[in-house]
Amino acid sequence: MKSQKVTKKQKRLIYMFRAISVRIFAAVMVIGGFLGLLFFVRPDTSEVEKRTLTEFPKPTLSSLWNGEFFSDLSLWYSDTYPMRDQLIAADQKVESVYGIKTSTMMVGNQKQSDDIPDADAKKADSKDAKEVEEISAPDSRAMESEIQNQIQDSLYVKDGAAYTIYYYNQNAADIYTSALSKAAKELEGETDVYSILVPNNSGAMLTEQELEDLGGADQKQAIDYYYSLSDGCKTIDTIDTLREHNDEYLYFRSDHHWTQLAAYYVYENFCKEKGLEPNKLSDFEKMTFSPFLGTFYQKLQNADMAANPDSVDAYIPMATNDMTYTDTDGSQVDWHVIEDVSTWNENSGYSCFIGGDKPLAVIENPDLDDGSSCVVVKESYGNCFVPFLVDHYQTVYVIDFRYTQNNVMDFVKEHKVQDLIIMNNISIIASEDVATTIAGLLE
Amino acid sequence: MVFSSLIFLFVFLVSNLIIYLLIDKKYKNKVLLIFSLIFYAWGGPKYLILLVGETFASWFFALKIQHSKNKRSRKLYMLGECIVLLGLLGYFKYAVFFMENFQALFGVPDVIPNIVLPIGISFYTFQLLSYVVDVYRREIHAQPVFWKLLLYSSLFHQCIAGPIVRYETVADEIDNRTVNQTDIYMGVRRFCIGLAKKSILANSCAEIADSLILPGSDALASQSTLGLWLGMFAYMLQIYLDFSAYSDMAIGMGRMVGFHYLENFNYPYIAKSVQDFWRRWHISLSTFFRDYVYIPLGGSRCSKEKIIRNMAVVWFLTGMWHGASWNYIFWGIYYLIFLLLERFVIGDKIPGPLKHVYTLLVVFFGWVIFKFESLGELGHVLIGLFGIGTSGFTGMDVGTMFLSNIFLLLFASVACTPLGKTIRQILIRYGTRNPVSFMVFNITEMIVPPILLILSVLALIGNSYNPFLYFQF
Repeated sequence: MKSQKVTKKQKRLIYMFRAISVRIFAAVMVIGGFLGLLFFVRPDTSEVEKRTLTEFPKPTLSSLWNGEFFSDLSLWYSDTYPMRDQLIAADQKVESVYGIKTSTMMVGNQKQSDDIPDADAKKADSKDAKEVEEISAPDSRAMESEIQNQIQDSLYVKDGAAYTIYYYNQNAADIYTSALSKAAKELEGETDVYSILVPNNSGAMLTEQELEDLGGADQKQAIDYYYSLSDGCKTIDTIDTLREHNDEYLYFRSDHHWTQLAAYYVYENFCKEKGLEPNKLSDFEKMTFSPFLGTFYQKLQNADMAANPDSVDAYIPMATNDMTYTDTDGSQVDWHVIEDVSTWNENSGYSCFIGGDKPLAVIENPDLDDGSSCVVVKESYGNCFVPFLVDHYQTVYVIDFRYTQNNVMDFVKEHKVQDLIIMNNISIIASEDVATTIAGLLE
Repeated sequence: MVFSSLIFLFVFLVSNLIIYLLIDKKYKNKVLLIFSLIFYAWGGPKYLILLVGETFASWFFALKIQHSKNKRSRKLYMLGECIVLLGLLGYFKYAVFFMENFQALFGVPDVIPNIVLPIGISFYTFQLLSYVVDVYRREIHAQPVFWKLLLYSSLFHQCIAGPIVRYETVADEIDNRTVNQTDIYMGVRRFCIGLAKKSILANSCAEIADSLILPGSDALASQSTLGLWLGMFAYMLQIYLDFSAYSDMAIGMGRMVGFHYLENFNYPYIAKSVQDFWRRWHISLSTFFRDYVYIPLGGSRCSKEKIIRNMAVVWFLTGMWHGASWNYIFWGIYYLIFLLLERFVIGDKIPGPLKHVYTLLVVFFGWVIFKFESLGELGHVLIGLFGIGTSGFTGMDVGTMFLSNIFLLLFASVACTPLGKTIRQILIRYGTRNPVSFMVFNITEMIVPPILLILSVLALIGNSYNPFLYFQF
């Protein structure tokens, strides 16, 4: 019916437009194919995602035969496609019309949280160290992704800030606390073991009502429970103090870390426990790095965050700003406790503290020669806490449990360390993998 | 290789089309064959042996059947074909399943081997079977040239994800096919529509479904009732958009080079009954079972008991074909029950508009059965959809998920209906008289395919966005 009515002239026009369409299609395909051939402009890292992109696979007889090589090749082709970061940004523009982004939302998967036993009930229903389910320690790459899951899987977003929801895991708690008590027992009389558990931003910043609505587990209850099981360890209050100050800038909005101001309040509590006089915050020389758009922003690309970015305040220790760290390849690097990262890109603000996450960092205080020393076993939450310790010890050793192969117990004994400070974010150690890794270092 | 990947688009398809276009006519089939073999070998060259071997067996048996004078030997060769092809399909697809069930019942064997399912085996096995049966029935002539039959079975357009193309559909076109301007345009457009359906709509729906319906009974229990509904709704959209997209791309790529494959989907989600749904869903599979199982068993022209038996056989096999797991068998039986009900009990008693609602609900719960190979998880979701054993009626994550994908879900739903097709027809109908409508028609004809292509490429690159945030910078 249609063809009867269409005149010859109209038909010619239809053909013309269709021919143009086919030519544009062909042009896009050929340009796309040509760009793909430009192997020298293929990126090897992604600035936005902070990861090394897939490498060109090495063909082996077996990987060719079972097809693994080809699937890796396909992955490499798309993962390192030229102008990838720009094209991804364009795609995210497109995806922003998929729906409505509200200022308050919940991103990611809700998880199941174990029930936290009452801190007073203590050992009664907790498992013996031996009964704890054995879990083998993961390699560091697997652990990276595990940590990312722990802290970024379920996010509550409100007014340009993201909050991590906390899920308690009984087995991880058992592994972690029994390792700490065992270490404290073994080092009794020689070294004091401090356990510092830091809440994540939701636990410190959100109202009780919001926390209840969000689900997940109660961080105060969890920290109390962990502390109650850590026999022989000195425990430092964190969450109560932080909640008292939660009208201040204690956590970043666009990043999962806490600010150095929050770390300062915990440092004050630490000094009280140890009987030291804390330095006044106003006495430190301060550096500020702004704007800072951290990990939450990378994941969510939230416009409210970009409109109101974070800034990082960093306080330089009085005694020294010099340090050395050992990198994963074993090389020694001279660095600064507070490094000037103002020329780095806008998602690097938190990297200013103690060189980021390194297997081992050492800070020598030239003003002291009393032989005092401490070891801080930490993940990135510890980074902004360490600078405050510098003025109180002749030597501060910092071990990031994710990158070190050294046994912490041997290290502590060998260096006759006075204080072993184990400092972690409560969300991260709710991973059994992470708890197992820490337990392995404390054996 | 999958169609919805950059390497397929920009390396494989581009070079295939360029070489195909430039080369002399007599080599065109060979170009297609070589590309098809590379395409198949991409998933592991070792499985190529299987594809070539099955094709060789079918080629051999079909010629033997054609040249046999007596009925007995024809039957024997036909039997040989069935044993080889169904035997291999049974071994690769069902052996593990049978052994697991046997082990659960009788405790033996101790060790179940790990058999990897070769890509596309269900599709090309059926294609080759239909070819030999058709030769046996003297409906078509056997293909004397082996590599041409291999071209039919391995052609990358349809080899790994359908449609199940009958040999008679392409028999003439293998040797004589012409391509005109309309074919090329229609092929390009169909391909772009399929690509966009897969890489934009189906992949996004999959993301929604996967983040709401997490594996494991514990995870499912922590989801809310509405979360399960939304997740399963997204899955329902995903499975149609994904599967039909592969058929669209196959039909489109075929058309670009002169093959006219039959339609495999006809807007199944607008069906008015379950029977209607199955006339619109994966048509090439339904017709396969109709022509090679149902009708030979006597079809509907027999007693009520026999009709029920025949349908039961077909739906048991349909379930089994989709996968070697109990849930697929249940899924087949589930449809059998509704088809029997419609045929013998309900008839035409459901009032007009409710027909759609009824059909969609049956299909929806069908997909629930289809999705979960673990019967524990299946049970969890089935009762969870009625509010039992969930974390509550709704949760904030469900609200966020819904709102931040509301337009996508709407668009994906519309993409399951013939609305786009209807608008196009209206535009051209008025266009013959109204110049404005005519221009709108032409401009949309022109820009839709390239825009869909570009958006799809962006989506494919965006899919690789994985903020694997190293905590070390």
